[in-house]
Amino acid sequence: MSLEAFSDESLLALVARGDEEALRVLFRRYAKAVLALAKRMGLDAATREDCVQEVFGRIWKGAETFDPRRTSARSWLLAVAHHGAVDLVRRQAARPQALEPDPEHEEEAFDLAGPGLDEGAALDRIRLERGLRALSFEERQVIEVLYYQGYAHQEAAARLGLPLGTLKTRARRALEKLREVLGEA
Amino acid sequence: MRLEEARELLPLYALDALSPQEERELEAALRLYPQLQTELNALQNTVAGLVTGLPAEEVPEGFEDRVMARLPHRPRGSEPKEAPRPTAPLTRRGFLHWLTPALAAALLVGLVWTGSAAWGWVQALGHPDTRVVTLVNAQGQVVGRALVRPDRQTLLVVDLPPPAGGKVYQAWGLGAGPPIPLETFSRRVALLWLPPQATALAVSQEPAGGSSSPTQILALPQN
Repeated sequence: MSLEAFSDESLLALVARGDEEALRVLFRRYAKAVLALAKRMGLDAATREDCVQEVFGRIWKGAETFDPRRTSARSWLLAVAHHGAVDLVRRQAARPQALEPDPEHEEEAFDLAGPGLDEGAALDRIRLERGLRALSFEERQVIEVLYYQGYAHQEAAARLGLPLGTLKTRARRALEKLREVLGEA
Repeated sequence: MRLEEARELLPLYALDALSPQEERELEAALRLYPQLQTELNALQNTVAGLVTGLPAEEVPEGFEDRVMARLPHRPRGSEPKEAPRPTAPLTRRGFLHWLTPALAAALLVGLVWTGSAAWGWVQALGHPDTRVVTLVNAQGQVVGRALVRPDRQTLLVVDLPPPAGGKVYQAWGLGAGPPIPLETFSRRVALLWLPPQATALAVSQEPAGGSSSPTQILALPQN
């Protein structure tokens, strides 16, 4: 029986029971995204593959901790991916370049154009690009340092020279704006 | 952690920007305030878009097989470990088996402390509808058990440091809504009544007289 039509949630339930084929289907769905995230977070090509290995190892071992009442499988899988990438970034101190060193090129800094795989992926990319452009420079900085550079919030606040409260406010506002754009049909 | 403090941390949690300790505390708070879950889910979905919107990378040929060949060992077809369920009926033998020595000693003290009602609690241990709620601290260590009888009378036994000066423990009923404030106590054993809308309970440390919402959570139901 092919598992290709199964939802992510169903596949995770199978992985939790030790089904390797279900993990393979999840790999085909998410490995590209994990590689993309690892690249965006500044990891080199070899470490990006290590990252994918690490992430799918964690999914294999930890699928039974997934609780569909608390979060979607997609969010859970991508959170595992981010955790794995952050661990590697911290281990290797492979931080990406500081955000937008030249304000004149601010627009290009968030140009995410790239080869598309299918219409859905292209749409996701356009939405994210539009969403990031809807943020103020300061809000994008917060998303960049917290998420794509993987700094914990105290560290991020120190790097950006912001009080913690301001960082929290900007993070919330940025996610609210992104949600509006990413949620558009 | 208060509701508003927890809400303030949700974006940072979704962005994976909290320390491990803060994550554990927030996860504990989320069990107390289930009403925050919807907001967190929306934030997590948004954050997922920060990944799925990136230009996808091609997977090298043969990479899938290499990853699968190097998975951590796990017997094929193995059953997942069943997390102890706080609401699962437990036999008398099971309950005693689960007790740590410290909690078993506290339970004996508790049974003596209940005086003439002690025999009722001993009988409750063998009742098929008696439930045991296991309580853990933020580090996941077992720090208490609650024995909930079918009539919702509850014997709560905790293995916690004594309350700080001038403070007391307070029990909370947990259900679908906000935590329900229950009795305060300062010993390791308490007898209380669990309201019908509560399916589990938690313990916090509060100023004398108790609070209307938890301040410092010490014990939550184990998942």
